[in-house]
Amino acid sequence: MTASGFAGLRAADLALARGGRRLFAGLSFELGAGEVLLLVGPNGAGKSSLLRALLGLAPLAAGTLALAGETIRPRALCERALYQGHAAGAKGELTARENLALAAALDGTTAGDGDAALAAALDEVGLARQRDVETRRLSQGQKQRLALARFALALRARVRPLWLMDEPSAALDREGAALLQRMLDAHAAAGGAAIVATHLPIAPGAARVRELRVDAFAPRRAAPPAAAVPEPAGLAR
Amino acid sequence: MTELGTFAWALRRDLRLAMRRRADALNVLGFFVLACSMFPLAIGPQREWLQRIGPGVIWVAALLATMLALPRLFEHDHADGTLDAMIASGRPLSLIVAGKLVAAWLVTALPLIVLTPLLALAFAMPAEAVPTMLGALLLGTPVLLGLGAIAGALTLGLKAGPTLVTLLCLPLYVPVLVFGAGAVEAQAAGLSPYAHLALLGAGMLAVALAAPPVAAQALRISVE
Repeated sequence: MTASGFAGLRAADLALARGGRRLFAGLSFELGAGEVLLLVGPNGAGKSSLLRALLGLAPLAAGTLALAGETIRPRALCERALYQGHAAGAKGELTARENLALAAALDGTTAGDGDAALAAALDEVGLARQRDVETRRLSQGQKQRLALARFALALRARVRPLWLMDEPSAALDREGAALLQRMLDAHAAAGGAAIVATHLPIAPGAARVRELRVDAFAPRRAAPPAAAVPEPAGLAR
Repeated sequence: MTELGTFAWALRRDLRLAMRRRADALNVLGFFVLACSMFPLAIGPQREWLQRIGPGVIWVAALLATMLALPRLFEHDHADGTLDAMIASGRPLSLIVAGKLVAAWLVTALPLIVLTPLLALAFAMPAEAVPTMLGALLLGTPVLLGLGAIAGALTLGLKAGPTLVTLLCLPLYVPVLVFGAGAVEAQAAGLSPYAHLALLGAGMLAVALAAPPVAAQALRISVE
């Protein structure tokens, strides 16, 4: 399982509901090696839910996923994917290094030279001086950098070629956003793929970047029957 | 990471977290000691009374102390996103849950069992009853924890979660309480305590096998 071997993912006719409300339906996309798919859309469009549904963390109302042409259950993607939700995913009472070590062991991204690789990854995301600081004392942006360190390790270890990131840059400064861009580029160059829910623009670098407007698949409000009061012109779409 | 590695990962992780958050474990232990030691003071020094109620009081206190620890089992991991990360890692979730449960038992139940001989003194429990009491607690507390984990996983993220855990658990805890306290009583009555202990042991084996996968499935449903 190497990053250079990310087999194409094809999602067809995905539909998702949350709290009894249909978020979107008929959403399809394809994602191949070296591609970055940006999920865009207003708050509540279902970007985070889509990412979670791809991993089986949220139920899909309809649709199929296929990896390398073979239909798979969402949960089967987990082994190939690295997911970062909008919560930090780190324990506040552990240090940055401890958190990263735990996450890396779970991700299977440290082998052999564990400690050196962890330190290098923390350096890379600019947390060299915060290594032994309790995570709860880190700022929001530093926590997001810590999350990026997981991806840096995965990039190095060439495992988990599909990155799923939920607002990875929301709290990052300009330098942090550039770091994210560099990492996505390197990941794509190594043959990986990423799906990123974001409000910030990701420039096309080495990666082929495409945008997917999640809200474009939102159900239209049911049209009133023809005999009903006509909609005021000002409200027409 | 192997299957055993996944189990050990969760066990070590939760033990380390417990070390950083010692107040939580001490809280449970403090409650247990306080609840037990209040009874002899309130009832007075009549030996026969104390001997009569001792096993029951210790069991009830152990049960309530376990319930005190239950909400923390998954709540924190759910809130900070680490539970999502565990599920999304694709590692066998039931083994992660098993590791967490063993850690929780070591942190909350074991200290309480270690202190029980001291509390048995306060209830004037005969020396030969103490090993029976300890055996019953060793077999019974994993059942309490395992059942509580299922209830906790099912109610994760609900506003009324802790209340529901109590309601779900109490009826299931009754047999543990009956057989646990019954073991010591049977011995005091001159009968063999092994029937009670064997039933507790059977319950523990069943819970040890069933609780991790069931709780894991409940967690998957709860995070959706």
